[in-house]
Amino acid sequence: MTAERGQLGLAAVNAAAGAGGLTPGLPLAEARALLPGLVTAPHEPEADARAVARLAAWCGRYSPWTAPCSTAEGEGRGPGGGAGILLDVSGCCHLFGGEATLLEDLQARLAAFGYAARAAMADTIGAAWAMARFAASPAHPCVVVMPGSQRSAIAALPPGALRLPDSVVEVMDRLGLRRIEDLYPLTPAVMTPRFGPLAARRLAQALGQEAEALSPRQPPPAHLVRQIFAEPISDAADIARSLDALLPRLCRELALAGRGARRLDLTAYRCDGSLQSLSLGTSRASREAKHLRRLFTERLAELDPGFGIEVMTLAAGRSDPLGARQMSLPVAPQTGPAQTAPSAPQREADGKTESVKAESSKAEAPAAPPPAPSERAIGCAPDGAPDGAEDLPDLVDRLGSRLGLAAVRRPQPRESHLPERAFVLAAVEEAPPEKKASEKAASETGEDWTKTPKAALRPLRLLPRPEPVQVVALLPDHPPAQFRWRRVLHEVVRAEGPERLLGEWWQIDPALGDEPPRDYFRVEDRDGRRYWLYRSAGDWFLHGLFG
Amino acid sequence: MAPALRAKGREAGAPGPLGVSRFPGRSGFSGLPGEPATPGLRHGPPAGARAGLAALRARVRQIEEGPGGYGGLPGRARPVLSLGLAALDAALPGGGLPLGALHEIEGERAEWDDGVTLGFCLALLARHQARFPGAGDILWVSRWGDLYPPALAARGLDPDRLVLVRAQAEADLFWAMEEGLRCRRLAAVVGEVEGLDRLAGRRLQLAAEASGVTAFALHRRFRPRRRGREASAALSRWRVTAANSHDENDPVDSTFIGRPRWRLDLLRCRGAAPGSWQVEWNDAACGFSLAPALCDRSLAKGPPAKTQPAVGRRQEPAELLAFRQAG
Repeated sequence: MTAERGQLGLAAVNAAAGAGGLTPGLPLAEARALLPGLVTAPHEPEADARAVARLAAWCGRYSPWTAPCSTAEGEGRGPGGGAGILLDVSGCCHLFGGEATLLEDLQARLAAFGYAARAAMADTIGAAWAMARFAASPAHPCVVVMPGSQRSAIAALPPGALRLPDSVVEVMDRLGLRRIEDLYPLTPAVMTPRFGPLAARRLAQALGQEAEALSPRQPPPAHLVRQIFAEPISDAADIARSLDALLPRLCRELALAGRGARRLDLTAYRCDGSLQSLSLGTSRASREAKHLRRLFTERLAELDPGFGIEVMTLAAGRSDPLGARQMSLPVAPQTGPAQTAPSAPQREADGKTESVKAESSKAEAPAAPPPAPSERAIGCAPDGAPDGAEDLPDLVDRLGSRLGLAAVRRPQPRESHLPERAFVLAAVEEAPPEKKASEKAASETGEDWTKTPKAALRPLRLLPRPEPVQVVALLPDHPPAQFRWRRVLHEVVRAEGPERLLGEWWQIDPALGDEPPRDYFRVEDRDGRRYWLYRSAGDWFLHGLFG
Repeated sequence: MAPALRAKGREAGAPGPLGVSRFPGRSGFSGLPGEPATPGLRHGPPAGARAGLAALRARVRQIEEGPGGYGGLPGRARPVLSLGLAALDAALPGGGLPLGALHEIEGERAEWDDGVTLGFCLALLARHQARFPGAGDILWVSRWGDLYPPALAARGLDPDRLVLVRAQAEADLFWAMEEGLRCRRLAAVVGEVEGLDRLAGRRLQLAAEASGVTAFALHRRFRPRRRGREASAALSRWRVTAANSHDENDPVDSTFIGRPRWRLDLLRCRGAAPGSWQVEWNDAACGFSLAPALCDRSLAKGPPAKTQPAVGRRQEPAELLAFRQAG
């Protein structure tokens, strides 16, 4: 508990040390003289900030809007010092049985973690801050200010409760302004020249005359569902079951908002105050609980329940607009019962879309005698994709949930004559109709596979980096007569070339200068294998293989 | 007494379950397709046994295709991809490369990968895309990620229809392939595998059969060649060897590199005999043709021993037909 300012001093004291007469800011030597048995620890502001941030994250179990108090406000001496966390609990209290119950629960849990915490609830941030630090006491750690009564609640508190710097408070003290109510008659025009602009603003904020926004720890997700357990759970089956319960709720919420999730964050609040979270992305907006549930199956084991999970929240961290999707009627056989069609609208209302229906029609297919063979049954049959099959984005999501979405890519053309730059791997885009639109757009912008220069002369396999080969050529400018690649000698019988490729001048790093031009040769060895070799500044490299 | 009984048993053998394990079954075993060694088969079985054989073949096909025909539909044959070359198609069960199955393609050399397997696989995919234009995307799972999409357009394959998956480990690769095979929207799943063990092959084959998506396993850097190949569940196994793009005695100017030419060895195929062909791939026509080394002119000079069985079968279409039905 020491800090430095030329000399060692105390940064913070605990209750026992405070009772012994120590205060923050006291030089260490004096403190040692007062309490010979004083135990000290170095002051680590960063670690403190991390701990507060962690605690603020934990408070997310009450409300998604949580933020640590800004550090400047916590540096003051006296009751104004110490760290704090702000929670915007608008609309959250009833979930916990009322305002007082929420505060008591919060305080009791923090006390159980070993923190000496005081809590207050008020209409404004300023009033809550003042009440928590100046009105709440260890005996009564929770204070609730009734709505609209912050003016009278903070009237008797010292001006330091207005989140003002010590210097300003000192000036007020000298002028005889010892309580906040002394400031009430003063107009901003009177206060600002004497105490600076902050004082009038803090007062107005505390009284609710000026709006103050809480900048939350992270933007709160627009779509969040939460499940609170009566007892902490730790069994994997229980976690899976609660996810099964959360997902349809989230999907219903998304369906009402007309959106689909692009990222899902599953957060588990453990009973030891830490939290575990699991995020996964989807390649397109989706609100099919069944599909999203499948994405979690690969990852759910990563969630470490520790001593037990008390609360689980599931949020759509990112979402995109997703309209209701038209479902094609199942190509029901004539003899088959028409039970799938009437149930379709209802399923749509539930926010589940095609895949659910596909599932049911698949299940019914064997029961109904199929008189006409449908294309669905043979999968890759001619004429279009089979009906009712799983979409490609669903597959991409599933692959991405295990391999990472960056591992599932679709090649896109890029206009460059350099072979290694002629394509780029892009994210797998949307379903076929949109794909066609993008194709049209691509052809307009000029990005097209047909623009690849001499595609027929390009290798099927391009080595990630050209491999040096030893070459024997009859003349310096001739194609190789034989070359040794990976310790195997190849005798060249046919060769075509050279095709000279220069670097892209607009890409050249002026510091490195020009890249030497490459002279490419297609060669065929005695066995009929074809290789793509190039000569650059007198050295030979193998760059690709033809099939 | 005894001869009469035997004769009776032989006649009753065809339809009855007892007979199944006796005469027709045995002859079917000894007369492995491709080895027309059994004299009885070469001269054609007697009329009664022929009917029995036909019934048995139908039965075997029924068992293979599951209850109620292929894909749960009675009377439906497994779809095939015609390779556009009569010699090749005739040697394959059903007149083409069966779809909805796993096919292995391996190279000739164990030490490194020379890209020839890739060339053959892309040729098959290009034919598939030309034959079934709306079939969907191709999932390409690889641990190396050195496929060069811009070159595919010239091969007749649309690179826009490609989804490239980069797997870090062999287990991920098989998992990704299997997941892909469950998605009926795909036209094909290609995996560049280091080795295909029996379990992985079986899983892939079952997944491919269930969904109708075709799977290709391209072997790269396969090691356990010398210890005898492990039996795999794949429907077919091809070996592709590069061949000179021009004959040495070719009168045509042979200083330039010609079309890709491969020797294809069908090492194993369920319901078909192994064979060997030398083919040439034509990008523009998107089809195979028999390379001149196999044409009649070079036949007279005596082709390499390996190609002989294929030639022999080409000359006996009737017998070939019988074998094909066995599959």
